[in-house]
Amino acid sequence: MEFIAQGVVEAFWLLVHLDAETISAIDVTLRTSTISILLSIAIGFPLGFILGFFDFPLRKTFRLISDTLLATPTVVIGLLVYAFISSRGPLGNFGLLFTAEGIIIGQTILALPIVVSLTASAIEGMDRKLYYTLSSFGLTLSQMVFNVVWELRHALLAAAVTAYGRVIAEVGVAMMIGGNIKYHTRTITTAISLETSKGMFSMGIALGIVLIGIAFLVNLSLNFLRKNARQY
Amino acid sequence: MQQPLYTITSLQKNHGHKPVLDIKDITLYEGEIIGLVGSNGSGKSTLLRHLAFLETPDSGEVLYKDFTAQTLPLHVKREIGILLPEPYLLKRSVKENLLFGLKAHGIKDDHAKRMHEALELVGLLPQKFLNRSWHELSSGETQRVAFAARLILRPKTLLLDEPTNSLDISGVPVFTEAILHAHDVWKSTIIIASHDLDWLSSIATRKLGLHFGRMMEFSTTNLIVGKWHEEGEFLVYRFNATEFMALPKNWRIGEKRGVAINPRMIEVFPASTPCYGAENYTTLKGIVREILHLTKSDEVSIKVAVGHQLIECIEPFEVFKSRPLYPSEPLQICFSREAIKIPR
Repeated sequence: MEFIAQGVVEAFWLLVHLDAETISAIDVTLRTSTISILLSIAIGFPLGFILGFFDFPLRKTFRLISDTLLATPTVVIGLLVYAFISSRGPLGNFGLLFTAEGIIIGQTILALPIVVSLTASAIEGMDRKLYYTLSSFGLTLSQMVFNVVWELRHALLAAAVTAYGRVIAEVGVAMMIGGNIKYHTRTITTAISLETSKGMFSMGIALGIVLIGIAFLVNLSLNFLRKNARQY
Repeated sequence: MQQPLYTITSLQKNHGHKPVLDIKDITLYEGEIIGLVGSNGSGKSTLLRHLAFLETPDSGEVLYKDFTAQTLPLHVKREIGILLPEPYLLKRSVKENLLFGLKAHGIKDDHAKRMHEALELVGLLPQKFLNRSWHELSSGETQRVAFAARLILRPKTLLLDEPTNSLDISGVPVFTEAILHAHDVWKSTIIIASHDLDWLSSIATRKLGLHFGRMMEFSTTNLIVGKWHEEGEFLVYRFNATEFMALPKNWRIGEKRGVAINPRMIEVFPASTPCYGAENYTTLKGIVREILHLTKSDEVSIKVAVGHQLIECIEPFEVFKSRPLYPSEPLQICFSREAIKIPR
C-alpha cells in the first residue's frame, strides 16, 4: 500500500511542477484526440445524416456495418492502419508510422462508426412531428437539413462527445501506430501502460488522474447535453 | 363559378396490409370551409397529410390546382399551411417560431406587424408571449402559437387537424374568429378535421365524412354500426323494442362498417302524422334531442334519439320555420333506401 500512497504524492508533485514528460503526454493526447474527433465529425455527421434521413437501397446494410464497427477492438484498427502506413503498405511513402498524424488517422477511424451510428440514430429517432412540421413549411432541401441538424444539435453533440470519450481513453491505436515515443507520440494511455510495466507508479497515477479528470469533464458535458436535449 | 382546388382520384394508402385511405374521387373547391368528420382511425389525419403533400399515396393522386405532388412548384406548395394535432414547436422562442416560416419563405417585410397580428388572432398578448421559450408554454398556448405560426404566412389553403384539441373554453371562439378571418380577409380555403361536430357545423360550408378511409359525401353522424340480425331475406338493426330498420341481405352490411344515412335525405314528421309503410322506406319514431341552426348553409340540424341512437336530420331553415320543433318533442323520421350508403 505504501508504494501506492507514495505514487499518489509524487503524481501531484509532477502535476504541480508541470513535469515536461507528463505535460508532453497530455499535450499529444489532447492534440491527436481533438483533431481526430473533428475529422470524424466532418466525415461522420454527413454520413450519419444520410444514413438516418434518406431511404435508399442497402441503407440497412450500411447501418448494420456501421453498428458492427462500433465494437471493433482498437488493436484491430491499429493493425489495419499499421498495415497500410508501414513502409511495405500502400501508404508507406507518406511516412506516417510512429507519428502523431498516424495516430490521428487511426483514432479518426475508431471514432467514425460511433459518430455515424449515433448521428443516424438521432436522425432516425427524430420526432415524426418535427419532420412533419418542418416539411409543412415547404422548405428547400438545404433548409430542411440545416433545421433538422439545429433541432437535434444536442443529440448530435452528444454523439461527438461519446466518440471523444472513446478516443481519449484508447490505447491500442496510439501504441501500435504511434510507437509510444517519448516527447513525440507518447499519449496518456501509452505512458500509463509503459510506466506501470516499469514499476514507476507516480507518473502513471499522475496521468491517470488527468485522464479521469478529462473523462469526468466529458461525462459532465454529456449529461449537460442530454439534459438540454430533453429541455430545449 | 367555384374553381376546383383539390381533385382526388383513386387515392389509396395502406399501413402494411391495412388500408387507411381509399377515396374514389372527390373535388374540393376554392373558398370552401370543409369539415372533415369521422371516428378515430377513419383516415382524417392521413388525408390531411396527403392534402399537404407530407405523405405520398400508394396509388392514385392528389391534384392541387392541377399540380401533382411531382409537378407542384415550391412556391405553390408554400400556399398550403397545416396545423397538426398535438402541434410541435421548434425548440426556440415564440418569436423565432413565428419568424421561422417568414424567413424560410423569404418574406422580409412587416415581420413585427405580422407577428402581432398572428398572436392577436389566436388570443395571445404579443408583449407577454413573444420572448417566451417553447417550454414555458402550456399545451393550449403551444396550440395557439403553432396556429399563429401558420396564420402569419397567410396561407391560401389552411388544413387544420383537430385545431381545438387543447383549447380551453375561451380558445374555441378565438380560433373560430381566426379561421373566419383567414377565410374572409385572405380568401383562404379551410379544411378542418374535428370531432367537435357542433362546432364544425357552425363553421363549415360543407361536411365530408370519412369512415374506414372511405369518403362519404355527408357527415358520418348517422352511422348505424353494431349488430345486424338476419331475418328471412333481410338484415335487421333494432334501435329498441319497437323501432328497427330492415335492409336486403344482399347489401352485405359489415358489423363494423355499418350503414350511413344521408341527413339531408331524411324527412321529419310530427308523431301524429300517419305514415304508410312503403317497401323502400324506413320510418322510425323518436324524440328531438337537439336543434342547431347551421348559419353557414342556413339549414337546421335536428338530432333525433331513436332508442340509443342519435340520428341527425338536416333541413332548410325555411322548411323548419313552417313547422317548428322543440326539444323532447316526439316525432317520426322517414328515409328511402336512396339515403342509405354502405361504406365499401
